[in-house]
Amino acid sequence: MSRLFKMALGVMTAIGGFVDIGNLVTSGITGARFGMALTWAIVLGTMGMTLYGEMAGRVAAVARRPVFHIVRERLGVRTGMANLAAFLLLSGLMLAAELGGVALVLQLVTGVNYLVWVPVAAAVTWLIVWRVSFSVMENLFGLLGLCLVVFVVALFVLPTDWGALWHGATHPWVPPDQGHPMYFFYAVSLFGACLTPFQVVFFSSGGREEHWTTKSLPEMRLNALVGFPLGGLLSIAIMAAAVVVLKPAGVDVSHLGQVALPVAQALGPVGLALALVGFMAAVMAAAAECALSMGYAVAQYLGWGWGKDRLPRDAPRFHLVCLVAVLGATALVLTSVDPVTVTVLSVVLGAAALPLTYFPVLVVANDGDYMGSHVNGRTLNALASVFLVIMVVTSIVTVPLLFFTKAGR
Amino acid sequence: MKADSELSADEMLLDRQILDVDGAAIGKIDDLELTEPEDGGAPVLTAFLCGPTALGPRIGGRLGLWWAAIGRRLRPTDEAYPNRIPIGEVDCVDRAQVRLTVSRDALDADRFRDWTRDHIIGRIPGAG
Repeated sequence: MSRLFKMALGVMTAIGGFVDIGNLVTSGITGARFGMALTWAIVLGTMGMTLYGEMAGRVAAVARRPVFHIVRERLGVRTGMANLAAFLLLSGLMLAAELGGVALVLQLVTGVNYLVWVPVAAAVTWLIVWRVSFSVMENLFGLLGLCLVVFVVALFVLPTDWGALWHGATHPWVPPDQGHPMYFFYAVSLFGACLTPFQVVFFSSGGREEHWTTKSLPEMRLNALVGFPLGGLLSIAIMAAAVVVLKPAGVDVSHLGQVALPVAQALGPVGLALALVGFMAAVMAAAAECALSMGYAVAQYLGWGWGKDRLPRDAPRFHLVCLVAVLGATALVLTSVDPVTVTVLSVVLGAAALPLTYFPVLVVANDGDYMGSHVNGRTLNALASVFLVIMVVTSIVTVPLLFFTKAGR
Repeated sequence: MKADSELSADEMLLDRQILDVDGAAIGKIDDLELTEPEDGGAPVLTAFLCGPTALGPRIGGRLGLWWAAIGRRLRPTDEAYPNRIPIGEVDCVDRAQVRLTVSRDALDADRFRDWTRDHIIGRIPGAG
């Protein structure tokens, strides 16, 4: 495989991998409710993910340490364990949301109730974790996830008023019918959907799975610095499509299918089919990555062997954690709790826990003993510190907002 | 053992990943065994301790007690003392890694791993 092709492939999978059920649902809801007024939250979240994704990738490549190695080394046994528990709880919720998302897409395609599809979604997710090789998983689903580009195409086919969209994005005022708490609650949800903790755990552990070294840094940087922002742009396109079609019709998004409506209206059945393939690939991959991340986190904290590049019997405890995660999340979705509500809850609570995952990464990226010449520069540290402050503020305001807005209802 | 001239336990040893001679993960340095020489003098580092019975006391509280209790059940013997990795089997300790001179199979460190492999994971088709 030529180097150029490999790099292009990496960027494309990063774009597809960026979008998951959290981005789809929150972009759809906020577009229909707030217009483009919350675009800034996606931009901010994407910048944060790019910044910390690059840092975590660099630490994985140079210091050879994925996130939960660092968490235990830097935060110690007890704080590290509290961190691990929070991570597992939130990622479990996220996994339930992703499985519910896969089942909802299957319901849209077949008309059969999603609860019937939940066990199927869980079985496929587990099979991906169990046997599909890391590169096949990443490349296949990443490329299929690119079908979501139909949202951009739809914007050009629809009678889109680009000036109005731009005006909305650059004038982020609170709509009079929504109120500040609701506005900021959904801002947090968009921010959290871009910065989901499992994604950074997966990105850095994936770097170890692919045996990154200092030589892999340009590739890794390209993925993070080009792929993630393009993924953020895709989230904005999904929001814009909702603004153009759903907002004037007064639709309040409460089902995944409504997010795909603008594409169906613009491009007909073919467009809808492509959008659903994109949904399916993005959410399916995220489900598998989420389950894997839970296995990675536990194995890294306790020092067990882990990874998809070895047979399951050589990393049995890692696979046991992934299996239990999938089973637990399946049980949660089967209680018939609304998957869209679970999604919103998991991205918002995830936003509240952000500093736990990202702070240790920042500390190690500054450790010259580990990082040598690849230590963080001043500008990067200034930016990262600003984002850390934003994350801390977010984590303080999130829970009050959650109760005050009754989870955005 | 090869190492930088001076190590601080907190900085360089505790909670580090231990790798065997082939680079396979064995566990973390959950605690350290220090022995006082018989002729007196300062205590000497004699082994790395790993596994739940070493980690439990460091977690502390009720959770730590449970952790250690589960660890004891999983031990091949009734002895509660944690798995030891004698310092003689340690190849090197540096910023990048803690590596041993022996293979994972030579250490009886991981009964939990073997149990999950034999009773759960190994029974699922496709486990390899």
